[in-house]
Amino acid sequence: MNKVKKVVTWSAFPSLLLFIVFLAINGAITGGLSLSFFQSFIATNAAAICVAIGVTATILVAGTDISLGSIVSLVNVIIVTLCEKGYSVVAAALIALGCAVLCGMINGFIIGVMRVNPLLTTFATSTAFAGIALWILPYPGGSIDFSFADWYSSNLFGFIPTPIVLILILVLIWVLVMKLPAGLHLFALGKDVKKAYASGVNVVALRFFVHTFAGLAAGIAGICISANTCAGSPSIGASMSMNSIAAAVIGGVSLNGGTGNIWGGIFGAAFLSILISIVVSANLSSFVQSFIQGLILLIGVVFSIIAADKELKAKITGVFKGGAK
Amino acid sequence: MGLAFRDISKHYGAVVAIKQAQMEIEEGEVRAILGGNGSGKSTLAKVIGGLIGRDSGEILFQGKPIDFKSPKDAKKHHVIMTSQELSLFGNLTVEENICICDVPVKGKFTDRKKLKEEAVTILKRMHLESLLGKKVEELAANQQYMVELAKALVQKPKILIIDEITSALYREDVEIVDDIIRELKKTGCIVLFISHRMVELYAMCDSVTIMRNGETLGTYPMQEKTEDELLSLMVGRKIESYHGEGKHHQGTKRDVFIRAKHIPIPSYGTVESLEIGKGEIIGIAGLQGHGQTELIRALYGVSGEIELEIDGKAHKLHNAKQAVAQGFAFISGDRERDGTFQERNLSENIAAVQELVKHKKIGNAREILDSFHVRYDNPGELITSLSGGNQQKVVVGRWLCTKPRLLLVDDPTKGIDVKARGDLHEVFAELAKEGNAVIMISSDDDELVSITSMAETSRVIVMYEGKVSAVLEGDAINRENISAASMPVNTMPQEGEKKREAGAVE
Amino acid sequence: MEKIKKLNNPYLPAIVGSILLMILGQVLSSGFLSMNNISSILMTASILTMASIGQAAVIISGDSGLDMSIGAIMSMTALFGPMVAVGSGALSFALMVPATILMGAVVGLLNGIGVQVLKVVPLVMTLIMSSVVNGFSILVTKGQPSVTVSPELQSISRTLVGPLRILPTVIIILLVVLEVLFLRRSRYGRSLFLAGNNRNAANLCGINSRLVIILAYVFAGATAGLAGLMLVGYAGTAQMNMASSYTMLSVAAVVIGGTKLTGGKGTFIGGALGSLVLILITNILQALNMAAGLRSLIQGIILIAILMVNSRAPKLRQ
Repeated sequence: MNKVKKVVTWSAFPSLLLFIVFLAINGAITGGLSLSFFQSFIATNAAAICVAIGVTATILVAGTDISLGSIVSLVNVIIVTLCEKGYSVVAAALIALGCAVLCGMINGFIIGVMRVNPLLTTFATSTAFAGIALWILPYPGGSIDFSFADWYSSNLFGFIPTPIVLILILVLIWVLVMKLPAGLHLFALGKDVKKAYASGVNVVALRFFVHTFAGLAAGIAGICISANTCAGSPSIGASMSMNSIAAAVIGGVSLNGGTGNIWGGIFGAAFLSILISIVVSANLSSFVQSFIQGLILLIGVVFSIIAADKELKAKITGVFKGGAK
Repeated sequence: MGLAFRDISKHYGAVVAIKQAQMEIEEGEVRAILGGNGSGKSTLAKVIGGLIGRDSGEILFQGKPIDFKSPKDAKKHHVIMTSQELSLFGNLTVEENICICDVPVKGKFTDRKKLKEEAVTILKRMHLESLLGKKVEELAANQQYMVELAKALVQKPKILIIDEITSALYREDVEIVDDIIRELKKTGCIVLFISHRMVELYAMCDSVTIMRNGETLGTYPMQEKTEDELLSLMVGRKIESYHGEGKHHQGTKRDVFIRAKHIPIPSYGTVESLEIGKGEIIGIAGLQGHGQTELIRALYGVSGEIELEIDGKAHKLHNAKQAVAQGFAFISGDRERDGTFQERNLSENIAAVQELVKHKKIGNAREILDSFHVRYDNPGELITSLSGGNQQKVVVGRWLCTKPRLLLVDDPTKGIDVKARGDLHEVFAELAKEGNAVIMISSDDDELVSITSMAETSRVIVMYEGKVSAVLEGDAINRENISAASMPVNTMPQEGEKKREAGAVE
Repeated sequence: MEKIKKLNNPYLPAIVGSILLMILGQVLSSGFLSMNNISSILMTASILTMASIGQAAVIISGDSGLDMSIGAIMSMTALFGPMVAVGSGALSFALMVPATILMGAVVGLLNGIGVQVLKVVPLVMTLIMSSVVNGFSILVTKGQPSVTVSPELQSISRTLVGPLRILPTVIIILLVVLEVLFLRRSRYGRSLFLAGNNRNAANLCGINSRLVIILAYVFAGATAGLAGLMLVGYAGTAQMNMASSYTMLSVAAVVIGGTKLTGGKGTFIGGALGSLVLILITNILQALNMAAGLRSLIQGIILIAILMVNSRAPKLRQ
């Protein structure tokens, strides 16, 4: 019983439930859930999930990162350009990944060491990163060897689809960090910077880390999206920043920091993706689609915030009954 | 060979916070630091705790100079500072909070088992095992304080700085704290105790250092000085700390002004009623969080609709604007949260109600500021450039220039020095003399005794668990009666025990 | 003297920045400071100024207030505004102004309700609103805008008043009027500062903070709506999402103008100066004939530099 309660009150639970329900709805519409549907779903949306993981990490420490979409574009452009120049796909992908991590470090440095507001910082760096992408590849074009796509759509170790492995790498890193003392410190920092500092938390290092991690997540997302499309576009990630923040909020991650976990980001992103794929498969004109997608985001976020608020209210009354003010 | 401060100075811009502070403390000594607001005692504590740097001077511990670059650095040397504003994380559990400064590890990873063990050991010592596994935000204020202390103890302090316990502790909590401090003394730990609560200081401290205007004035053995003597030293002139007992007017007839038949206290689910007389000062006493604030907020109409009979006519209030229209005023003791507009200047702060809500002119801001003895340069300066007491006077001025008929005040003199406190009391009494009513909450029983003696008609209402446990009038208004009613004796400590368990269930 | 220094303090970086940029522009490309170029710089700066006025109001309203839907609103009214056609061209133009203001105000109202009633964090609420508004624009125009901009509307950037074009002149007057009469003197403006600075205290004073803050979003929507009309009048043609960059430019302009993101404080004039700085930067980069990507990179870097000088949080250890 207690375990059930624990699952139900888990902050990521509503988004998990939504995901499962809408997965079922999608199955009903398209006539059953096939393994191939699941494979193509994960291949298409792994990038969105990775970005959501990255942004969730920054939101947990009461920050945010709106430059991840630009980093995704940059990674895509770098891979395409290097491949055209004759680099092997592996080398191109690794170099691009390194660049993404570097971008994250730049964010982390400005936010952590220089103490600039995360939103403004990542807006500025987002302009810069998107600029680099556009500079390298002014127009959509170029192609990547299809061996990349083959690798992406195959299974690693024989049974796990590659995109899942890529997501799992991020999850694994995060879970390991959570097991370190730094994991506790991270939640403390999200709750209150001054208190965290007074409790001996290394504020600068943690902020640097989460933004670097977000950069890595965006890098992996860029690899996913490049392998999935095998083409280059300097604005391929443009809409991802905003969707990932919405995904995190739907996943129960509080924008005030300190509450939530990356599963919320993952399920939130998965839920949004499945919704969008339902909208797409509903055969509406593409003009209607973009409006409906916006409405879905709006409803999803408002719904999840109101849902979270009730929990808060119950907690507050609980404290009051305990005799406190 | 204990702890010594030599010529510590610290300033923020042009403001001098500490001026060549001197102090020597023996190992195993519990030292109180006493001073008014802005006397620099908290700054001094933060300097030792590594939270802020110092400009000059030297701190010697066991003969060696120490200079901490950060709180982390200080903690490494077992110099621990607890303070309510800087300690606990509501989103983490009790045991995580206790161990967060030094998380036990196995290899590189957090050792959850050991973390729990450490927390259990310390909580057992404090008889608080029931708190295990809960999030700190679910705890009551006094429980949070105990967890804070546990967090400090687990770090095995050699120097422990306790800065301002603002929440009232239950009697058995005080005993536990007392025991713990005694144990710490035995191990040679130095304890620095910063508090305004004289009773606690007398109970726990060996000696006291007085600070004023950033300077350390002197150190005395605690029992050698009376409360009045200490307060006089603190303020720098001779004062009588408390007066008023036995000076209350007896049995004056009450001319009813407002009748409130149904005042809900939501957190306890209770309902109270109140009759307020013209020219009356009503003091509301009780331990913190027993429904006092909720009572006056309800009267002000900000916690749902309330029906009031004002001058015999029925009125319904459901927001502050309507209350203001009826001539109500509300002054909170939590200046920063509920009072001042810190980015705005003095005249804007003064005019907030009169011009923006009542749509009348305030006339000259200078006149109002002067009439409340505010110390300021010009009305265009930011309110944050004033000291705390003066800021509160500005807030009081904001309301009194609206000529309120009912003034509701919630612990308005919290953290204000004695002089400013006296000024405010006179202002309130003057208002009552003009035929208006004042309802004042205070966490300081003596303050209530004193202010109620200043009006023709007065009462002190004591609240306990959301209900009025006593109404005191005339000679019955004294410290003993108030504290007896705030903690009904025969229900302690069993009642407290129950409370803690009740806290555990929710 | 001391007083003047104090008064100008928040504007100082923007003023110094503009002057330095003008000198730099002149050095890099002669003719930068020609009357014609200055007048065109003021033209684009006044469009951004209009957007930044609304942004400033929302930032002042506090509670981490931010309007990320300004670009979307501008893009929308740029598409729909010119569609107003009733009788003569002059009459249509006269109706376009209130129509676009109204369109923007409606979106602003939704933002305000979302933020204050549904308690969605402003950043997220307005970001999502921007995608709804963009979606709506696509829905109505079917993604193929065919907007004809009437000569009356185009005239806002072509008619001259002395050496300046008419629009910047109007905007400068409007700016001063709004700053002095609306923001500083009016009961609403003063309530906005108080509610943005300390909501609890404002509520206890009897100020309806929720309404005051909602109205700030409505105001921001309205000014963005008008800015969109100005933009299309200047550009002469309308495209989908043509104003998307104005969202963050308006935030940046307000920040460069010395307004802190914490609320309760700020000016419209600062936003105008910030707009001038940003437009000067863009203009210099354009004058140098740089690739669009490189331009955006340099813009980003300059912005980072400004932020590092202007908006660093205080140290944790004092």
